[in-house]
Amino acid sequence: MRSGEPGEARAGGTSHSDCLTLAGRTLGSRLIMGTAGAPNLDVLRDALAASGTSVATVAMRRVATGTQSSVFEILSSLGIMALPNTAGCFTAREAVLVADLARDALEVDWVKLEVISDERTLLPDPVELLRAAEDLTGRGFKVLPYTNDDPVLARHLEEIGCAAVMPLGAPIGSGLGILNPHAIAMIVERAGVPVILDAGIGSASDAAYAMELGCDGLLVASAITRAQNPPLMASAIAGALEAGRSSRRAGRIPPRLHAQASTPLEGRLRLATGTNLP
Amino acid sequence: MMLADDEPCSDPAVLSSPGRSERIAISVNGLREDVPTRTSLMDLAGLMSRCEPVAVTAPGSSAGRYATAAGDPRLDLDPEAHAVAAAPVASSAGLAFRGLAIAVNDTVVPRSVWASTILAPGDHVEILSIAPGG
Repeated sequence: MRSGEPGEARAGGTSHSDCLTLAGRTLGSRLIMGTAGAPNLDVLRDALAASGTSVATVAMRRVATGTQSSVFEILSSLGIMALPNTAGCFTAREAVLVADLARDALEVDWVKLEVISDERTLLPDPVELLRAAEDLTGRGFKVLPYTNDDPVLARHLEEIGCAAVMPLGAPIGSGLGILNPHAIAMIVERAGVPVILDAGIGSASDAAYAMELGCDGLLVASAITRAQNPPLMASAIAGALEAGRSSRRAGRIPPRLHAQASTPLEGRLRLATGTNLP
Repeated sequence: MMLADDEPCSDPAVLSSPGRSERIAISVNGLREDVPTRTSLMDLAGLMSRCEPVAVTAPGSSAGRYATAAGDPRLDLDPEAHAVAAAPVASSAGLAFRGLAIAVNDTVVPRSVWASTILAPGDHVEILSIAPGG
């Protein structure tokens, strides 16, 4: 499938008027991509292009000469905004320092805030996350916090001024999809800021489901970068995102316990002999 | 630049040898480096963007990970040359060293003062850049 320019609506896709506005900025796509995990930078570039994303997350790491700058160059050449994250931070203090470094490095005041509790689960540490978010929002950062699927924590993050909430569907890299759809639906129902599902997407159908639950966008990394064919999966997930979004907006039929015939009984033929009535 | 009281790199020994300027010991990205006195953060940023990585020869040795183009295993900066003509880390944006950021002793140092920030013995420097992530 030929991919269009980053952010443009695909043929047959949703209209340009249904755009996501995040921290005051209207984005060309509701899909944000993570850049870690691809087998090499060429594959990453192709996947980013196929995804149609307009924002991609990057990390801050100790500099070594060589390819570190190439990620930034790839994003620049594709017209994709680099959103720095605080990946690998376990405390608020580390995360705040990394956010400050990223702001100086990129001259943007957006930050995808991740404060992880331990390396095995990679679950967010709620206490450190709130601490870091409060510090950063207080100093003018537009904070996009990676959080768990607890509606109460999501509300706290919104109340202290985060520009969005980004609940996980399942642990990072697990590909388990949406483990607690009820919780995600509750976050969606109560949120006054965009809800971007972040972590756990494994396939295109997961992406569609997240959008049907009412999420405003998705952040997908491993499902694309670690797929066997990352550009193809990027395209599939982008399409599924749009399908799920349209499905949500179209107003689905409610689930029913019993059947409801779509064709009325009126006007059927009547047999001359015997009966066709139940 | 302020010194950290609990800085583990506690050897502020200044190396001197005939014909070379005095040096101070600092830590750069977790490795000990001996740099000339009056080295600024701008010097360091410029050097990092030009260097090729070399193997660390021995743990705790004073040979740093970074070599200049000449192959000398120490950061060998001319303390007189403060205007470092180094290529920016990344591209077209026009901002020098875009994508690069520096913290000294756990505090960000804005790029506007890199040139005027002189390293002190025992300073713990972290130089970070954009990398795949997220």
